[in-house]
Amino acid sequence: MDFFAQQFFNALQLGSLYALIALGYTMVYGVLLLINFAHGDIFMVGAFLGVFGSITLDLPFVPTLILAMILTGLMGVGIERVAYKPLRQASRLSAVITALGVGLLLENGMLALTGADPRSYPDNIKNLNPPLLGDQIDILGASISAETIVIIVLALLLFGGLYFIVQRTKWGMAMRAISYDKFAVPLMGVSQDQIISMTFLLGTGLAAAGGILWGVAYPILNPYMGMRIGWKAFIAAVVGGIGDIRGAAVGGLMLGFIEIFVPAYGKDIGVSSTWRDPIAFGLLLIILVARPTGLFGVARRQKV
Amino acid sequence: MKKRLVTLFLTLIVIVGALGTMPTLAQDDCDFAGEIYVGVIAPLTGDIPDVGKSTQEAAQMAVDEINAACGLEIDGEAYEVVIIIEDNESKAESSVAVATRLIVEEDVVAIIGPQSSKQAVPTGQVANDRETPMISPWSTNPDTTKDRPWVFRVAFLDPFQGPVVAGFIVEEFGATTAAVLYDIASDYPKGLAENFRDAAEASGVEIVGFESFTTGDADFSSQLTNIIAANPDVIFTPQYYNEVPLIVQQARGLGYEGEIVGSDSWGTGDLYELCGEDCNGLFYSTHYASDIATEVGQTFIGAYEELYGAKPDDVAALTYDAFQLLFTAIEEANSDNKTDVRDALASIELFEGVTGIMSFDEQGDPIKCAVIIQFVDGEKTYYDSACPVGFPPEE
Amino acid sequence: MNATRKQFFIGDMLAIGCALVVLAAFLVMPWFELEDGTSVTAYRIVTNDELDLAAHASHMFLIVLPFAAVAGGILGLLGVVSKRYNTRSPGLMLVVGIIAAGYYYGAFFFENRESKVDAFDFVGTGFYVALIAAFGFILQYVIPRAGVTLTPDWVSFSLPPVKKASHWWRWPFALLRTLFSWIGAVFGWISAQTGRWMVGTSTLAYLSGLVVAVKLEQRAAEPLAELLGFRRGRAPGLFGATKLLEPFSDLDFSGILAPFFPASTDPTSDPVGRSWDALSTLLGNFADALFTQDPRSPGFFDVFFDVLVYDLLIYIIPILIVALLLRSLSNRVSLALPFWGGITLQLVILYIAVDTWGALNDYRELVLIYMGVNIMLSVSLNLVNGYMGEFSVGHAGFMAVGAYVSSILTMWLFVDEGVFGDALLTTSGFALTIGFLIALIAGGVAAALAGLLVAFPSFRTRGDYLAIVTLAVNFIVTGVINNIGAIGGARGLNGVPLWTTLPWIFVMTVLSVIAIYNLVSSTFGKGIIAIREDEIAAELMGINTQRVKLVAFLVSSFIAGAAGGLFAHVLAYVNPGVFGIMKSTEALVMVYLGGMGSISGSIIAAVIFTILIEAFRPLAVLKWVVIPLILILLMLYRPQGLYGFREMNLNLGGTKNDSPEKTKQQEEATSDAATD
Repeated sequence: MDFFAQQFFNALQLGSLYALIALGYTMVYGVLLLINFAHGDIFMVGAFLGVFGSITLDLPFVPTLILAMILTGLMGVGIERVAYKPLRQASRLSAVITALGVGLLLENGMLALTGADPRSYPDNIKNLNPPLLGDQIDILGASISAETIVIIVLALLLFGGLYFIVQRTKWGMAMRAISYDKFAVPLMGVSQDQIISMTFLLGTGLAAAGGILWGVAYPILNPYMGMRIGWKAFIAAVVGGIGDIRGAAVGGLMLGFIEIFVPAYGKDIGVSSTWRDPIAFGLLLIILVARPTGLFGVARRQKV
Repeated sequence: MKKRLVTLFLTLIVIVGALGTMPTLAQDDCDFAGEIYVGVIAPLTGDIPDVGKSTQEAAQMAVDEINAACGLEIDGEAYEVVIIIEDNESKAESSVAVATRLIVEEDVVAIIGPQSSKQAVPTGQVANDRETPMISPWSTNPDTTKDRPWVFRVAFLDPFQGPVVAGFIVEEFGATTAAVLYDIASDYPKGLAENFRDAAEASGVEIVGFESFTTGDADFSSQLTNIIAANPDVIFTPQYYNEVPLIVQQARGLGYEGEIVGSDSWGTGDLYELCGEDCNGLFYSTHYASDIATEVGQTFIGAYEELYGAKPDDVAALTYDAFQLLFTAIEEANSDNKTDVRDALASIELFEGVTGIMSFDEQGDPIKCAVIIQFVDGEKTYYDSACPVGFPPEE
Repeated sequence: MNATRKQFFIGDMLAIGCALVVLAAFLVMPWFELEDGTSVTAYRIVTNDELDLAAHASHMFLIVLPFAAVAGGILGLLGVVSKRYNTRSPGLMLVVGIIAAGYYYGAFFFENRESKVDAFDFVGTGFYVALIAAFGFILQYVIPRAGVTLTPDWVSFSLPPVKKASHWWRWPFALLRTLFSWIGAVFGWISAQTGRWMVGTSTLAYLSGLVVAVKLEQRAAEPLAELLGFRRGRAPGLFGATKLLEPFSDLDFSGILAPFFPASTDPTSDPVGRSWDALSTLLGNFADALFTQDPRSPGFFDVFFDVLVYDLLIYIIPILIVALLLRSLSNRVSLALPFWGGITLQLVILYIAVDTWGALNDYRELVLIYMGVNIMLSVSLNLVNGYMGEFSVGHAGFMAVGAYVSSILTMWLFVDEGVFGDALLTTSGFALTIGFLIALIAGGVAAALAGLLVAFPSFRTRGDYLAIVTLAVNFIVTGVINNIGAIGGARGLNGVPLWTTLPWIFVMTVLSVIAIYNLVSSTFGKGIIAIREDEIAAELMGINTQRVKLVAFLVSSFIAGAAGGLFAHVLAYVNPGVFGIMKSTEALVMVYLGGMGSISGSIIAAVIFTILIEAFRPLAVLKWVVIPLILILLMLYRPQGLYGFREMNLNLGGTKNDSPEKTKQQEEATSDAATD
């Protein structure tokens, strides 16, 4: 077993999951300048809807994924309509605090409505057996499960798809335009509401995909799972430069790599894995001090 | 306008009056002379809601049972037991607040809970200062009961369990190397991990990996890769149902073939259901085994299963025992005076509970045996037991 | 309305009626005999159990008595303050009060001594109100008429129209909206009417009222609670809110969605049916919780009126009455004193009130201490988030540093046989006080040093990026503490001395608030606000932005650290898990609930939040569903928070002209000016 290769794939899996969730943060932020603190909990709802699809409806993996993405996406649009839209003209932080409230509401509502038992996925989802791949693959001396490959590939596909939508389609152009100037765009005959709804649909749909893939990799789901992961993804998105899709991807992967490689190689320099958190967050802090707007972020032009 | 106001008030009065004359509910069959209040503090929300649920269910069951048998008898009169369940949100400050409230506002005779040491340690201080007996079913931190005559517990301590597991891996697997994977930000795993390490090293086992993560993590691959690279005979992971299935699964996924053992926290929640095949054949140490349980235990398990449709986990069993201890103490003291109850609790000897026979030492910690459980096709099966020296005393 | 109308009004009749009932009861009472053969000469509370109401309908008299006394007292007092009624009714109440007092002391002197409390219990509330009425009656003649000549000015009341629904399926919403608008109208009317009566009343007067109310509660709470049938005759905690929500504690919502999300990997059979069953059971239980009359677990409405009566009698009415009576006096005092003198006087009175309230039991004191800690947290966070416009989300990190450093110091120096062995110093009394103060300051300084971790990056990093820096600092602090075995790591530090008492927390909270208030109202503090408005412009105006930011972060984290130290010394235990992201979130919620850039908003929000957290405990799992809902609704309807960018209009300095006519004229003058 090659130690480095093994850790590399470990990091790639964790990093792409972080990146996928960070992507949703970044999309919403890019368009609305809103830190959607409920994102982590929307991710949790997505994972739970995976349970609904795969167990209650007995669907296979791909339909479960699509169903959860659609349902969660619709929920995201609904949340935006009810909770964020009335606050569009208000102070930016009112919306942020509302988002915090929505997040708390989702996780505790889920606990109240479904009970305290942790959930898991059925075997056909937990142990994906994609064609052409066995159950366990050896690459470069690393032992990798099929799920890891599926997760990494799917994450890449979703990135690509999103990047294509944002950069190459009219919808994407409208999104970028709103992010650039939300007063001028409606004057051009583009419906702001529609574009924002679309953004939420995509962003929360991605969160659901992230939730299900997370559940495949780490099949224990509870209502509070989104909170911590959400904060971490938020950190990843900001370190990458919030509002930038590439930034979210790189930030997520970076967080994954730091979290895996600090325990892996820390002990060689006399640091035990117990110091992982202080070191990981210390590194991120240093990055932010060195690059105050994240890796890909561009400082917003100040009108003087 | 005034008329409408008057109408409104009249309507209100009529409604209130109607409510006032509604018939009261039927009275109980038993002729209760009074009520005995018992406070329960459980983590219904927060990190471990499953533990809260088990606590709540077991407490409700214990109290319903005793009340169905016409409550507790003091001086020949029957007293009804009333529990007040409070949520501590898995937070220390909430636990302190609810304990204070239960003691000063609800006048409880005793407090059962809190479960986690993180809350039980500061809450024990509150109970001790206000001279109210407290029994923590699940807390394993020595500080909970240390120098606190009013605080008791039902679970055994880390310094006892660590050597039990260490001894087991040497005897059973002839292990010479072991690794530990634990949550550094959580009280129980950290304490037990350190106790295990010390005990294992004392019995000649080399600890080749001592890796940690943080509460809420789900990816342990880096730590496990480290551990596997050191190739230990056994991995010890004193974690909860939230992590153990993931740890086992990831370890197997990374190609680990050796043994994984755990501690009594494995007995919480439906760990096997979450873990599946991967956990088959694994061992852990805990308080009781349902398949060799005594008559008391069997009755409890049967009743619990009938009531809630699931086998009771360790928390439920320990909470139930805590209640039985309290009931025994109250009846033996023949009083609901807190001092008498405390004295009676301290003098209980060889109490036969669901989780085995136990006595209390001068710190209020139980002296009891540990059992080793193996998962055999989803069933928690008795494998072995380990007792403190000279316990239980020979007949 | 004519103030000197000599004409019987229905209120007069009622007051006189009540007074007669009270009088008669006092005279007749000794002749009654109870079930167990004793007579009521001891004047104790006569409970339902003792007195079979159906069999002895005439004994209703004894139950009615306190209510009659209260009602008579209220009406009499209304007469005093409004002068609408004939002055005969307050006069009558004076007589009642004197007779009641005579009986009370008579019972005390001539019966056995134990009966004193019983006698007091019996007449408890009514007696108090009668005394207040008598007091008011005297005041009317002792104090010149300046403030008390209030012509009652009735605010008109009308119910809003029934909301119409455009489609049939919308009628439930229309119904709900109608209901809410009606409730709103009633509350609006009550507050408008109270406002009319209370116009020109200064904070000093309200605080004095609060003192009287809590003193009243101290004596009358238990008898009244017994009378209202609260469990074990205990005064309801937190103004009865806990009692109010207790009926809902057993509601189980988990069955509704659980069938669709099975915990095992096998699907639940017939999930829709099960969910429906759960829902219908829940609805049934909900109805039960609302309407049950079971005395052991009374329903919501049952409790609601009890709690309402309790709060009205103990808190609201006494506070309003005393405030009204002291209105002119307190205004004169407030105006005569210099500003800080007035503030000091009011703080002293506030402390008396708080101390009396907290002295009733340890739980209340604990809640007050948490409240103080929360006020310190939210006010200090508001300095950075509200006044400076940054978005700090890791405030608990600084709290953790302060908590640990001060606990380590006190344990190391003053605790025998603790984690760090025996105490280095053997001191006692005053020296300990100084020692604790030094430990708290050391905790604050250490937290301020940790604040540098945020302050330096803030020179270059702003906005959401700085938010991440603060978050990272929070994670780093708890992560580092977890790794230091000497101070317990994740096992926490046990045995911290229990030194945080009410005086400590009160003084520290007041000092923090004054410090922040002085900072933001100083010239230097204007620089902080200038940074929020426009950093570049601020720099152009010659503000050293780096220095201002440094000071703001240092002060903010210093106070958070001191709050952490106090918090540790009330839990007697510190654990890094306590200072996680959840604690930071709570601080954030308090700041934005109260409103950015508002000290009074932060204080109010911290008080409300602490009480909500405690009062909603009976809801168990639902608690954290309801609190975020309240937060969201508040943000939707009041995005700027309770007091965004403005301070509460406290009448701290007193009003020169407290006569309502004149105030109204002034109001009209200003509104005229505004319309011109």
